[in-house]
Amino acid sequence: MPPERYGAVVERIRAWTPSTRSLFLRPDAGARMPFHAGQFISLALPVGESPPLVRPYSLASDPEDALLEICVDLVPAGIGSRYLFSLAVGATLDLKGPFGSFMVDAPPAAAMVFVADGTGIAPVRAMVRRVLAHGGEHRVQVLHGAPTEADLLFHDELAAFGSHPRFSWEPVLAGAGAATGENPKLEALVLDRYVRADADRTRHFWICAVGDLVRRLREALRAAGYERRAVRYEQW
Amino acid sequence: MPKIHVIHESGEPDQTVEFSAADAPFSHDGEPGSILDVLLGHKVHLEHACGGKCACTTCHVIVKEGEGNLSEMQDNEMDRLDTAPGLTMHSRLGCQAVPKGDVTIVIPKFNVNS
Ligand SMILES: Cc1cc2nc3c(=O)[nH]c(=O)nc-3n(C[C@H](O)[C@H](O)[C@H](O)COP(=O)(O)OP(=O)(O)OC[C@H]3O[C@@H](n4cnc5c(N)ncnc54)[C@H](O)[C@@H]3O)c2cc1C
Repeated sequence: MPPERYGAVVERIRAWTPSTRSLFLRPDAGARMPFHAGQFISLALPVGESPPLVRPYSLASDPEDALLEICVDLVPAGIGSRYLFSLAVGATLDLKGPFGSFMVDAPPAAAMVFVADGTGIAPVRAMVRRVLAHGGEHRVQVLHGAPTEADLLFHDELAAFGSHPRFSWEPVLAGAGAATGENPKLEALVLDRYVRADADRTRHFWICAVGDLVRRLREALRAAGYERRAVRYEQW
Repeated sequence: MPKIHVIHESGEPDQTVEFSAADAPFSHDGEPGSILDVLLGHKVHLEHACGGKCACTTCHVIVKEGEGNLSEMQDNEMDRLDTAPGLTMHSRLGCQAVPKGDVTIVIPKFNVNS
């Protein structure tokens, strides 16, 4: 799927918290962008010292949905995210996509573990929807980090998937005021459960979060014996 | 001062950028002082769909000369290059490779991610 350029209109905005919102984008002229769940789009924003400012955002929507959904955090002093927060319904955006290899291309013959912190749940939500829709017999686990319950994006939907026999979703709350990308509980849980608790090294991981947490988890899992390609990640 | 000599496979004329590493970062994107950062800061276009965060391969370049003058490749760059179309033995990601001396690079025609 070679990336293409699209114009898009902000058709709907959903505020999750004062500093996180979803933008639902409709590509121009009813165009549909083919993509794999987990991939991202690249926005060319008319801001910064030498515009355009290029900023990537993961797609939380399903490839079959009519609108592209991105979940955006307002980053303190962040030029790109501040611009996206200034947009109202009807605003237009210049985007290119899809990009990235953080996806489930072939469902692995092993248990799947998704580790997401904060808005890192966006590509994971897209992948999990696909994986559960497509059958299979292996377990699918999601560890979902956030400061508080109110910060858990897609809470209701993921909780509802819980009725699926091979799916589990576990919120891991870092506590109010926890800095983005810092969730010691999430890190400890991953290491306790998938490194120290048993010798099974067949699981496949998808890790998505802001900052160095991603590198630390990736290195710890690989050092523990998981195959390099079985530990996929996207670091924002 | 180190130089980056750029050959565009697309046929555009070659370009050379001279820079002082001490002045990095030159732009918003990529590791400070990386090929991407230097080129963007000197108005030489190199794709960078992920904003220079090592999440795609659109800044893929092929090093013709001066490979030893580039910072060593880390895990994240290796993982990402693994998925690059047209991968060669001399491929690097512009957003990660930091030149310490002169280098000559080719920007492939296909530097769009699959
Ligand atoms: C492949 C990829 C996918 C991404 N998908 C998303 C997404 O779906 N939603 C999203 O909000 N961001 C996402 N990001 C981050 C996004 O591209 C921007 O980096 C972010 O919006 C900040 O840009 P800025 O210009 O506002 O601030 P900048 O000044 O460029 O960023 C300042 C710093 O903020 C930190 N940061 C980055 N993202 C976040 C965040 N979400 N919350 C808090 N701090 C952050 C980074 O460490 C960055 O160095 C993604 C990044 C990558 C590489």
